[in-house]
Amino acid sequence: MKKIFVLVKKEWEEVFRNKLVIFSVVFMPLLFAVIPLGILYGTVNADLSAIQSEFGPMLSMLQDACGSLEGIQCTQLLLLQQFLVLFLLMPAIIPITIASYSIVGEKTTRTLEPLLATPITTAQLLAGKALAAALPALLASLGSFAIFAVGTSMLAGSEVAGRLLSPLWLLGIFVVGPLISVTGVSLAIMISSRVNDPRAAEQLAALLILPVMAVFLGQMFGAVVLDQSLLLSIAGALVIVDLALLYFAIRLFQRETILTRWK
Amino acid sequence: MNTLDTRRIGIFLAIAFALCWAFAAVIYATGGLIDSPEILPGTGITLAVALLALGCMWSPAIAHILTRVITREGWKDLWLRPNTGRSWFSWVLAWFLPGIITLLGLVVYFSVFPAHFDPSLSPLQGLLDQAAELAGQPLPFDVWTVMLIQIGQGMLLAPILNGFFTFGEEFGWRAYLQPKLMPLGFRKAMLAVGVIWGLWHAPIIAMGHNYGFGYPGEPWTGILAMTWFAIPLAVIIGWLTLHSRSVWPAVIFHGGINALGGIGIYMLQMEAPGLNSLLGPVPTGVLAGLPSALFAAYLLWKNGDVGGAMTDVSRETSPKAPAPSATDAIVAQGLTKRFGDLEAVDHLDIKIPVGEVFGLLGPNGAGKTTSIRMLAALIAPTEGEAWVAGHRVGEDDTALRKDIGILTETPGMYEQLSAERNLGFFAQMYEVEDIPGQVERYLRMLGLWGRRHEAVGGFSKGMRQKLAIARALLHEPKVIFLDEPTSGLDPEASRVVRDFIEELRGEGRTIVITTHNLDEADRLCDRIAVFKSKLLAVDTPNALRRKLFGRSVVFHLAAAQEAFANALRQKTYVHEANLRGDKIVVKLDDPETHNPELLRELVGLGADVQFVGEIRQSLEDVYFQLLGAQGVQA
Repeated sequence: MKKIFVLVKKEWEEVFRNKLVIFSVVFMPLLFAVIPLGILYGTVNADLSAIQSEFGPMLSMLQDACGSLEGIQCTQLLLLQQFLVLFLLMPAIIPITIASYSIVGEKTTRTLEPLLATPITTAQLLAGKALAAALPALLASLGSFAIFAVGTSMLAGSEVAGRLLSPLWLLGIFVVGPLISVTGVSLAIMISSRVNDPRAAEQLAALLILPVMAVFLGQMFGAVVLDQSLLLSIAGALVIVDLALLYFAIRLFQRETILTRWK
Repeated sequence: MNTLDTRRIGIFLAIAFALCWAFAAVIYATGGLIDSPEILPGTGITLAVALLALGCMWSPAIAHILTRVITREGWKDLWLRPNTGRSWFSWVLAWFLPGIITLLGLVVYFSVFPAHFDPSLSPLQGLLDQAAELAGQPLPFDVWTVMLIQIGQGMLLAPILNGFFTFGEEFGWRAYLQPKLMPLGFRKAMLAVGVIWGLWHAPIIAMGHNYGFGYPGEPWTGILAMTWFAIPLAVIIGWLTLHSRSVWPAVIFHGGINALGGIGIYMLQMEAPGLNSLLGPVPTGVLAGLPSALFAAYLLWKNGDVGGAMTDVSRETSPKAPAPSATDAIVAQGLTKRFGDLEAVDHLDIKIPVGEVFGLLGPNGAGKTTSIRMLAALIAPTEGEAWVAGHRVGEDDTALRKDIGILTETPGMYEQLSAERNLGFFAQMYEVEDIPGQVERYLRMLGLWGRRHEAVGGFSKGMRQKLAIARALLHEPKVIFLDEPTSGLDPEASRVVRDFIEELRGEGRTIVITTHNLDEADRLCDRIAVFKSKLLAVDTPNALRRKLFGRSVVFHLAAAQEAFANALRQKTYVHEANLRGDKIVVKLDDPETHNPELLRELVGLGADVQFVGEIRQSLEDVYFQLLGAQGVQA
């Protein structure tokens, strides 16, 4: 365990010297918190009927979620609901830069062989790399959510903000988000250990956000309703996928192949 | 040839048999398997079940542990590593093969005795009827659905659920007895384990386990049938264990067989004439066990005594290779590495004593780096064995890596981190106790202390190389591998590195160096090996010179004449004497003894001898001579 945290610390010392990484860890979560708040701000003095005519069919589908909320507050909540996916997207996007560089970066700097020559197991190595990528993303996502919740409370009142602590949101932020992060990080590390170029790793790993984007767009177009049961199903599927990915990440990390075939 | 450890085998068997048979005696004395008292009322768990599952089945594991304790064997080679990555195929087979061979066994049995098959599954239906009566309503499943569920859970879930109990047996039979019998070879070892395992069941077979009562020749034929069944099973499970180098696939397989063994009973027409439990339908029957017997026969035929999985096995059990002595830092025996068709290292045999500086010389692509990587447990040998710093390569590589230091061919550093932080990180990975002290020590020794806070990205190649050497030494390894330590360095940096290696030699460390700098190897190495995929020669540089070129003395004369050379050629100990300008070059074995006489001879003939010297062949001459000879052979 100690070696894992030693590796995490070293990774952070390295990657956080990179401005692009700092940008992705700090700026993106801020942006993802501010965008929905900006839209929310736009609804504060908006004409309710105009909004309802714009989003009418979708709002009627989601009306059950409002419960005791009525009028503009219900509309605001339903608008905010659309942005839950953004908070699921963050844990997937943010660690990709770090994770995709993790193994291939060691290859390019020729530090992988000395590192593999130390008494570290493959599982420890990959766990260290994965945690180094996932933890900042999760912390940034939680920070972003906190800003979003406080902003919502200020703009739409505590009643609407309180709904952000509903099982749906908590499930998304605290369960599905981390699971998506593990998926992204595992895949990125798998890719990173198989390619020779950090850019290739990053580009391939970036494709991972497509399924999350598909859910986001599906929701925007009314094709998908992100409710509690769907999130639970996604969480269940992700647990299986993540376990399989972690297993294959270790299986695919062939020390010998990496050392002998990579030039 | 490695011999059987008969003492430990004897102790193990005595404990395993004594324990299990003692439990069997208790079962017999308390009503046998059928009339055993219930220990947890209402659960159906009898004293016999408890003693069988927790006592008898665990007796081989207890015997394993006790034998190690009694004989002070230590705790290596426990076969507990899952090795799923190494042999996932064994795991898949272990999980599904029991179901496949059991179902095939049923097909065989009911094909021979179709009248014994009851399509209504009456025995199972009877159980379901009881359950429905207890529930007070009909059950929502038909009997075949329940059978399929039973088969499904038997194939998927039961191997794990039964694992606790089957581990007790497998940790003894497969993780201890089998490796101990491997010096007999695969076939004999598997057969021996099978027979022992089968006979171990004798008392409980005699009490009706597996075959019941009333079969012809009871109980001796039952014990014989059980032994007959145990042999193929020992072959299959043994092969899975050897293939995966882990006991866990054996645990899974055994759990699966135990879970599925009984399903044939549910298909049996109980009233049919000619029922004989010695034949089936449970897989312990001779007929129902036919698929496992055929598969085992195939494995015995395919593996023979040395083939297939045996390569892996020999590394775990070392039936042939003797352990190195305490004075050997490195021993390699037949170490081979193939990459596809390319034989990078071909049966390397070396022995390097503790404290020696050993040079590995050879052209690019000769396999030097591959050899070092194998010895440093970075890549696995295709064949052969090696011990480094007391560890067998491939056994516990993490422990091995703690005891070695390696300067890789192209040593990288974390460019954005400081020199101090780079070393600090690796010191933590090597679990060095006094990290600041060790980092300071080596940075000072290599003249980098003043630059310790600077990012390594700004370091020259020489400074990086020195830092990489420091990294390899931080944890005070017993054996150090230096792969081209002065490659690409300027003369000054090369000298610093060479002096440092000299210091290390003074500390009594074992050092293996690969280099293209032959002069450097000549100066630093106690012995050198010239290597091009295979070992061409290994000895001290001077011994190699003598072996290849003999010894030559040159007499510098004021004016040489052929007559002088002729006179020297008359001496029986002179191999050659050649006139070269004003010099006479004489080849002979022992210049220290014969030079004075030769000198007197020349002076007597009137030669004006100016001085005498020995011609010393360079290591480069030796190197090219050896490689040239190898080229001619090729």
